[in-house]
Amino acid sequence: MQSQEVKIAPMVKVVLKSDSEQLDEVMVVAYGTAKKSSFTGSATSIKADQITSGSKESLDKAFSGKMAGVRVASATGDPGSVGKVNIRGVGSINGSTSPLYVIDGVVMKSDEDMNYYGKSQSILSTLNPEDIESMTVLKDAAAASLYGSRAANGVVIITTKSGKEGKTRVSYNGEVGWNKMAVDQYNMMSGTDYIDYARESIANYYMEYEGVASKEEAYTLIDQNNDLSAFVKDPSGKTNTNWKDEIYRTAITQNHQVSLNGGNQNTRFYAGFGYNKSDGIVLGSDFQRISGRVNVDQKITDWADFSIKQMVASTTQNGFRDQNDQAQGLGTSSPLGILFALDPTAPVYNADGSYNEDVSFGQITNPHLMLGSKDNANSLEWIQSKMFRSLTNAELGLHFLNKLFFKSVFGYDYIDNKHFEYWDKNSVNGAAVGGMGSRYTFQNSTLTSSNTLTYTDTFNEKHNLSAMIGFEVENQELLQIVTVAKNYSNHLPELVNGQPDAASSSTYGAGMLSYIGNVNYNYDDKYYLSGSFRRDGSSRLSKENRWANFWSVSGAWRLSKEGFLEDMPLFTDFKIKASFGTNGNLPTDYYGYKDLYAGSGYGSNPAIYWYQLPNDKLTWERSKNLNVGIEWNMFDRVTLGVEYYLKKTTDLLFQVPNSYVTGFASRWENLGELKNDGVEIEINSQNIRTKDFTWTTNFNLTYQQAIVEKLPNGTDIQYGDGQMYIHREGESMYTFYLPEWKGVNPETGLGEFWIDPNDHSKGTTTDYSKAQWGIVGKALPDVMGGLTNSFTYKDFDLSFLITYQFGGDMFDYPGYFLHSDGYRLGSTTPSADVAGNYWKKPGDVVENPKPIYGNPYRADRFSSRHIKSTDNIRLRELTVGYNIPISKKYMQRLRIYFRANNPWLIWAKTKDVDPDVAINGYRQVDTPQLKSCVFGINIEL
Amino acid sequence: MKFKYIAILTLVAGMASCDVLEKEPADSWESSSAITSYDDLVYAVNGVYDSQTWTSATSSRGIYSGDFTLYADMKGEDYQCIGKNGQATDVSWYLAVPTSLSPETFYFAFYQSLARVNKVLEQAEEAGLSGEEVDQQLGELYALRALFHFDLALLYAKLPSTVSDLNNELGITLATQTFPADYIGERASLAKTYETIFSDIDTALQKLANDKSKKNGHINYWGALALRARMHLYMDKADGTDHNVLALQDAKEVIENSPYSLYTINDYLSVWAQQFSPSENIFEIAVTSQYNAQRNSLGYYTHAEGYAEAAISDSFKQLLDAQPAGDIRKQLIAEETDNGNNTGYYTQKYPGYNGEIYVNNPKVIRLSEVYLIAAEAALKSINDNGASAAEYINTLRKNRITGYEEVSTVTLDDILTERRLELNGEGHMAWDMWRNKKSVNNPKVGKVEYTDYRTVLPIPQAEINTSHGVIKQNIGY
Repeated sequence: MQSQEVKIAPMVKVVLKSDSEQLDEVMVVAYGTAKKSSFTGSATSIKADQITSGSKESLDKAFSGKMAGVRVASATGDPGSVGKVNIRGVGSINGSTSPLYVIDGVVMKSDEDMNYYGKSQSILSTLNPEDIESMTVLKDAAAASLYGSRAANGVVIITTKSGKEGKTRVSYNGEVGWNKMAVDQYNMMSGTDYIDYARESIANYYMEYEGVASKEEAYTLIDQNNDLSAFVKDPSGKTNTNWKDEIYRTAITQNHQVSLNGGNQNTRFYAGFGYNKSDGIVLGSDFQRISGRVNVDQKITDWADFSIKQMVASTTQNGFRDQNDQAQGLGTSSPLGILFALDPTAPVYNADGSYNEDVSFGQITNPHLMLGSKDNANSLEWIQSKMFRSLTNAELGLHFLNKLFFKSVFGYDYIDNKHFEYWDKNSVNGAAVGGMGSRYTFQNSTLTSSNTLTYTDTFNEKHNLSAMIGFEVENQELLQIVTVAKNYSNHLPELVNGQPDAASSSTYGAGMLSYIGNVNYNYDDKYYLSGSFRRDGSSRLSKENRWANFWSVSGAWRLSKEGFLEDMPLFTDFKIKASFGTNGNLPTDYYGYKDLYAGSGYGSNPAIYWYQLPNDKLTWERSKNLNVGIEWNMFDRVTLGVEYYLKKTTDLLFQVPNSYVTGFASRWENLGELKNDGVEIEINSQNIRTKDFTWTTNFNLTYQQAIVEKLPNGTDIQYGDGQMYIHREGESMYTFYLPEWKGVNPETGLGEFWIDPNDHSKGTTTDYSKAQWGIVGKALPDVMGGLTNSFTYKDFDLSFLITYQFGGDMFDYPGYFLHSDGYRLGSTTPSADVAGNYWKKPGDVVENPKPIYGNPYRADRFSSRHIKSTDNIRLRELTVGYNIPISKKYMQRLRIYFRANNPWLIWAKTKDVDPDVAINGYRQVDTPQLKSCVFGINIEL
Repeated sequence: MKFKYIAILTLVAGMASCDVLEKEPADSWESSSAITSYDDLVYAVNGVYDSQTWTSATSSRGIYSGDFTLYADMKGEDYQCIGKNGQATDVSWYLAVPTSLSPETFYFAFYQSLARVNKVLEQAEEAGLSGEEVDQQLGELYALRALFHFDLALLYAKLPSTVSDLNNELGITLATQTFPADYIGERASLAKTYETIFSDIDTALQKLANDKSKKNGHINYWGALALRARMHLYMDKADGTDHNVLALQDAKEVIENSPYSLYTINDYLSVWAQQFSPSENIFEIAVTSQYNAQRNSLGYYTHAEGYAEAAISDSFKQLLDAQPAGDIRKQLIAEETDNGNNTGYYTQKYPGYNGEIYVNNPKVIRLSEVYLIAAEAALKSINDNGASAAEYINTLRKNRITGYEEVSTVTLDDILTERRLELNGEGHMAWDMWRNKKSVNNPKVGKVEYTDYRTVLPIPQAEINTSHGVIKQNIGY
């Protein structure tokens, strides 16, 4: 119990406030703040320590497992790459599925149109997680509708640290540690296994193509013709190189942060300076951020506040191209492409100690001679991206008569992003063009201004009312400059050393105009009613379809305030709430509605061509959101939140495939309907609370589904790489649609497919083209969540987060290359799991068919053979710390800790594969997820 | 007071920001204003050719500057795939299924080019452009529309000379106008397909007749005429008319009256590294270091240092070896290796300009082919035991073989062999055999009869899907 000052007045009944009021945190919500108890929408926030317990490289990755309904997955483990955040399922089929990011009240650019086309780069990685005070995720309409046209995928509100009144505190946080591949995977066949496999493949080739009758005869022929030498560098079996160790490494990561925090009654300040350097696990990949932030809040007069928040950050990302979600296939010179091409019977070094160049049967040479960053003389192909960002927020607050509050927020977001890709003239990709250097420069500025007027009043002591109206304008300008040089005279990367090849620039612009308003009313903190409204106009749509309205209504009833529940400890607090409203999603194209021509060239003359089919009917994607839930605090120890949501998205931004006869592959239309629904459960419990020992548990579980409800004309749409996915009414988003693999016939050694996946009685076929296609899995998990346990004992603390997900599948694209049944012999080495697991003789019960060089059956083609479960339980974060007892005279705090991210895949249904894949379930051929272990120290003076 | 200021401030902000909703692109512009002058028209015609030099939509696959020009060679018997990247094995190893990349990229690329043709034709008419100069441009567009439809028909429909009734065979979906995005076409009959092709090429010739001079990188009167000769040759007697007579007529006209002359023996090895100037080049598409098909280019496919998708086959090497010692064409192949990989013989027709192997102009038609068309058409339409045909072959071979001795008669096989020797790597081999109802002996899959379903590509599955089954798949797939 907490003491409370009470003004002495006659006949006052002194009621001690319960501690539960402490739990009544203030959340930052759309255009303001709200007490959690009075909030009628659905929102969850995490605080600084939860943010920094994740990766310090990029804050989007910090959400994982900490909130119900929020899913994060990065496509690649390369440092500085994007972590894709999905809130409450999948909001769109072809439109953006990323949430809107708002920092200190200003919408922040977070899309990817400034990225280099060959590489993933997170624009959020410019934000230093150490500068963040809290992040709130707005999930339902009541919470998010005030952001209207861009809120359909949820909103993430980021609040940076601000100064606290009192003595100036200086603190230092430092961390050093290492990164490794999180899951042991991509183990390739050993030298001797590979020789056997090659021999077997060639023998089967002789039998399949040249009419050789028996395996023995074929072996003899192989020896006679010395066939192995065309596929194996050292047929003696004496060399066995594990190339994975040559490409992937243990990488060093470090993070340092110095901050100042303090202030007096009138001025408060926070200043932070941070440095992060994370090496990637692939030779030559790393990420570095240097950032500074100063936040100053000034009270000018009794009725006026002014604050300025300024951040500058500069990041450098070194690496190489990635596969970029199904767009680029497996790049010959990508790290995994190199690994797959290398011959395990080739040694790393020559006898004289130099790197052996003769290590594959293609263009791939020694990885030590291919991979590396800009500063490594050996590296022949690399990409370096340097981003600079300045974020400015200025805020003026004026109070009138205690009832009116005017707030003007002005935001300026400036980003300069410079990409530099270099292919040396001796590199695989550069050879054909005599070397190439490309510099892509993007410069973006976004200006935002919002003005709101809020009226707050209480009538008859019990009617609490607040109402807000406002106006917002946003203007974005993007500049792109492309310069390319080819035919280098030397090995110096700068473009001046080559012949000019391309020079172009272009600008893009987008604007938005919005009117907003909301009303919150509550009666005696018992009954709550809220409504919000936003009208948005966007330049991305045609004049006729430019404006749209978004709104929400919501209410809550705090039963614990009613007489019949009052003073029952089981119901310290009990609230039921419901909301309904609409949100939108904008097309990502700047000018997608127009009928356009663009320019090119032919010979040395200009050329113009029809570039875009018109679609002036294009409009917002709309979602209708229903949310009902309870918030229950029991015995002031356990809080339980249960919510059900139903989100129907209509007028989907749908990329509809055209008949190619039109000359265009696809068009945007507003078509179809998507239903996301689910149940979210969050439990926070203080299990033990003694002076020396505490134990708290946070558990969250999400059951979710995303169902395609309506499609244009009700017809299926197949899409994706090799048309592996299907949209079908009643089926989940990201449903895999492929021929169904039966397995290997033990008698013939051939792979078999079911002729009809829906009717196995029709039998099997070894002819891929005769196999009909069917639904063979879906990427979205049914259930996911996390469990955090935190313990403190005296000066020790321990906390760990376990995440889990069940019911989802992935398409194992790397596996497709690694299990090619001899088809790729000589270009791709099979993975270790194929050894001893492929057919050799009748009766073998194995997973892989008999390998045949130039395999005519191609049972490796896309089928359910490559569909794998992503079910897993994973130790996501682990922190152990110790507060060194030290006199407060010298130091406020001295803490040392050990932290691990992704340290242990506790259980996974599929072996040898990292189950963390992008939400579409496509396991990419990029750098896999990392695990990291760091030692850190916090010092506070 | 304060309220007033705020109200004014808000209002001002609101007024000033109204134009934030009006944004115009900086790298593209409204189609409605794209073609208003003759210059615009010229640029837009360039834009059609441009689509056959590179295209972002298919990573430059499926077009003339790349794998299309090699298609009939890779399917025939004179080429083999040595490289291990499997870029074109859909074609060379006959692996194409409806979901494969190659059938999809050829299909998309040619229809993209056709959409550009049709958009320009419609806009030129809307803009009311006319006159001799304009006609020249429109003539090029009609010729290209005929050519692209013809190429699509070769890829996706049976060869007309091999079917018994053109009206009962599926042709291709015709694109003679622009279509709305949700358009679903239907495959025309083979008869209708070729009617449209001939109608367009005839229109083209009328419009191009005013100016018969050479046009670098553009199809001119002679190019259209030579292509019509080729089209007639492919028709043979499929619709009852003896098109060989017409083919011979057109070919003769080109041979006798055009400004083109055969390469000489002395020039033969050097002409491939030159663009436009070589004497035979009637129509070649201009590829530059800026606009080319990169790794899917002719040069990258046909060299050991590139993908090595199209190397000379052993049987073709033998065929060359068996030619008289003075045949200059024996020297147009060379053994290449890429650090011990992809070792084999490769054509030297695509050496790249200035050492850039991506940059080679595809020769859509050149004079040698016209001689060969004339020979074949003469053989098929004149009953003189191949005497007239022999004259064309003699003229050609005299310009290829030192010490050549003339022959008085030739057979169809002689002509087809000469086509293999002369037009090797220029996209003819398999079609030449099949249209004459012969087979090819592909080094990978063996004998492929002209009746084999794999002589025709499957319609892409994506197209079948979007048409909801209206577009019919080819037999066998």
